[in-house]
Amino acid sequence: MRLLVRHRLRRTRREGYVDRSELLEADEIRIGRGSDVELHLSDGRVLLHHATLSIRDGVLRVEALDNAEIELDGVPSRAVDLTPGHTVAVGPYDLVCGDPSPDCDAVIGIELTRPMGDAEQTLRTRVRTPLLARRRSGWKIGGAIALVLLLIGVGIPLGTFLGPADAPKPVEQNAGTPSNTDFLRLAETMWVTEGLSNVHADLEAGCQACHVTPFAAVAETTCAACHNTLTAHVDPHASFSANVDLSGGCASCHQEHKGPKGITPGVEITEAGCISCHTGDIDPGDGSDLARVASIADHPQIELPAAPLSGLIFSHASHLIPQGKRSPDGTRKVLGCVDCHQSANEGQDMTLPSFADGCVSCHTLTFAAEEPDRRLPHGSVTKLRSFVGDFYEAVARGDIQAPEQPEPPRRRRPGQAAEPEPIAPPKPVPAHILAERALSGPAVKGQCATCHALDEGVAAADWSIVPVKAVEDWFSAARFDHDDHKKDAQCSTCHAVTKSEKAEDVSMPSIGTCLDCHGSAADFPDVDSTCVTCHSFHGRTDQAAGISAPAWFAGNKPPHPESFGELTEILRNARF
Amino acid sequence: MTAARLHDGFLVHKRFRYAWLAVLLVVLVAAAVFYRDQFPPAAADLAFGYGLGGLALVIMLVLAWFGVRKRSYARGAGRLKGWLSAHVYLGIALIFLVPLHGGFVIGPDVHGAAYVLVLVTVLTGLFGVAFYALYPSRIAANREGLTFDDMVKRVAEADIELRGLAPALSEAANDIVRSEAARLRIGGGVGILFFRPRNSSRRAQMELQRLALDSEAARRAELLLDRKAVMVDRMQRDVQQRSRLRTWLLIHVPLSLAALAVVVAHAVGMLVFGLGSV
Repeated sequence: MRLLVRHRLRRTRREGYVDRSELLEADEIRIGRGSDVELHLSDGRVLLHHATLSIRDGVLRVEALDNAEIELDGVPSRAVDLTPGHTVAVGPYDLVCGDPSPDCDAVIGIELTRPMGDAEQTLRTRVRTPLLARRRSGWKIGGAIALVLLLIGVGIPLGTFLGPADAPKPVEQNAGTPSNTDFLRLAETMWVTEGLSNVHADLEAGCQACHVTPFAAVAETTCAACHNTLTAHVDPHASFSANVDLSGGCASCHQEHKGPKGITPGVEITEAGCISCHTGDIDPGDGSDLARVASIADHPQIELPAAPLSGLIFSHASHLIPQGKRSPDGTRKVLGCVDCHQSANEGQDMTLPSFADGCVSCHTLTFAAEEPDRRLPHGSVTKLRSFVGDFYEAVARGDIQAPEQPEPPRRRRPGQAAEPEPIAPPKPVPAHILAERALSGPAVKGQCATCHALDEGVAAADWSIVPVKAVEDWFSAARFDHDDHKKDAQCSTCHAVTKSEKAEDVSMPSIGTCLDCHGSAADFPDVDSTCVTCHSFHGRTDQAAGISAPAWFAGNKPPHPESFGELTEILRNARF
Repeated sequence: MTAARLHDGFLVHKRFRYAWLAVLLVVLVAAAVFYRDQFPPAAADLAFGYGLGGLALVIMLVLAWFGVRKRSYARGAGRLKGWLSAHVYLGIALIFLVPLHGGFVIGPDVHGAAYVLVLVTVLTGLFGVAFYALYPSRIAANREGLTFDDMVKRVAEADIELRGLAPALSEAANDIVRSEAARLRIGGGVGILFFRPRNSSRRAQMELQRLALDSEAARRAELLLDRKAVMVDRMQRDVQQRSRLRTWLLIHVPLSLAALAVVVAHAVGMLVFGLGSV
């Protein structure tokens, strides 16, 4: 066959084409990349032997070889009959059948319609370096994140100051009111460094309970708004030793945000802290002595109030005999401390027994044979006299019948008749004589005199009871809690009363007894004893205050100031 | 007379002047902290808490200012190399100054977060120091006087020649060459920071070698593939090194901004709840 091939070559400068024609003569014309084919195409995507051209029945036929690809209108085929005007794709080339020409069997045009593209350009599209891009995005991202963090970071602490602007309430457990509670808790978690103290942890006002004003420190007046019953230990204006710096007010010793137990002062109120002032070197300036305590082990002797003449006749020893005291029902009852002394004041103190609480169970104060169950009233001698008088008048009137007495056995003098003579009934004694006899005799006076010292009058019946005096508060300057000691001590550990025979005996312990268990932390590590275990640093306005209670505090009602400020004013003027 | 050095790097700048400065600062502050008991408590808290905190914040602002100074080419106080030296050593000192200022309390809250951010920023900075100290010479050694563009052009040249060889290659060889050309990728995403992908040109070259063809075209193709492989290797290494240099800063700068923000928030928190109360 004779085949005219027109190679269309593109020129790059303008859209024009250049044709190169060649005339091929062969029976079968092979198309391919190889050097031995008739129609040579040099693109690498064409196989060495790609296809064959032949004329069958006057029609141009293109057959693909082996695994070559030819496509007609996008559909892959193995063989295509090409009529003029139609195109078949051979690899990246387009083969178009042209109009027949008289001097050849077929005319085809070949064009590389899908070139591989500029090598360099193609290569550059395959080079990916996104990380070498401009850094502007870094600033944008960073700036956005920073702004968000700043808004959150500054907004939340300032936000805790928004909310109901009430005065800080006293300790109120968080009732779980919604509104800003969750926000406050979030703020606290984010902002509080070492944790709030246990006691302040659940205040309803949250941070605002103490931090009332932004950019201002917590003022002493804020503490005093809730803690309004405390007194100051020392005059805040005194210039004492600077070892314990009290210029910070409450915060000198009580620091919040130091953990759950951090609000309790540390070294300031341990033994070392108190001793730093109580060294004996400080002159308070008003002539009084600031007690000198070198250590707890050197604690000065306890100064007990002088025990007054009690007016009671009472022997602990006789009541505490091991075999027990006889009780009215005939049995012996072994008495212990708790039979007369009960705990009072929530376990802190022990009561002085009253007659009605303790003594009356044995000392029934029955006095008259006429009515064995009737008891004398206890407490007032005047009432006693009228009671006895009324009693015997009732007896005289016949309102009170003496119980039947059995006839005593009659005795017979030797030589006398067996039949006894009737005994004449005694002459009735007038009531007031009976009363006077009772009041001056063992029935009444004698019973009273068993326990009470009597103030004798002119007549035997003219007596009164010496008023009973007892010391109510032995340790006015310290706090002793009986309940705290119940586990480790018995009454007899501190109170040696088993040999006491007089009511005036003082059975309070000396400091030595306390020092058996209390001392420096180094010596007694298991016992909680710093100075403030027994002595309070802050007094209370309704009790004796401080270490050395000044005269106008002890026993007298102190003034009740309305505010901490007022109290500070008062204290500033009263040095103690 | 000692000869002046032509170049001293930012780490040894002026005989480690800024390193000594930073060490001195940390030692002074640490000594003061250990003798803190001598001061009355309130004054100590004020000095160490607010004073040192203010100092640390000022240092942070100076460190951040380096980013601005770096871009003001025309003017600016001091040499840029000095600025960089100070930036690095003061940043390292900051790791120690912050816990000293905060009493070594670092908890799970905003304040701890501020320190953690500062710490991470400085640590990424240390990465940067390593990169800037090691990589520039490595990059230069890798390039051997060529630019990246030069390397691209050389690969393209090899490509063009390989295309021209197509008619003379057997089918198998031609397949290898063509698939290599289609597969070739240079550079990459985030992965390029850590590892370089397999060199496809090298693989193609070895496959071609295994075919053990005898034709001149095949041998030429093998040679061209080998050249391509070497060049592609260089390019990948170059991209990796430069990416590491750039990306590190993409992390360091936003981190530093975030750290600044949280530190400012921490400072506001410390002030808003009462200046003078700690």
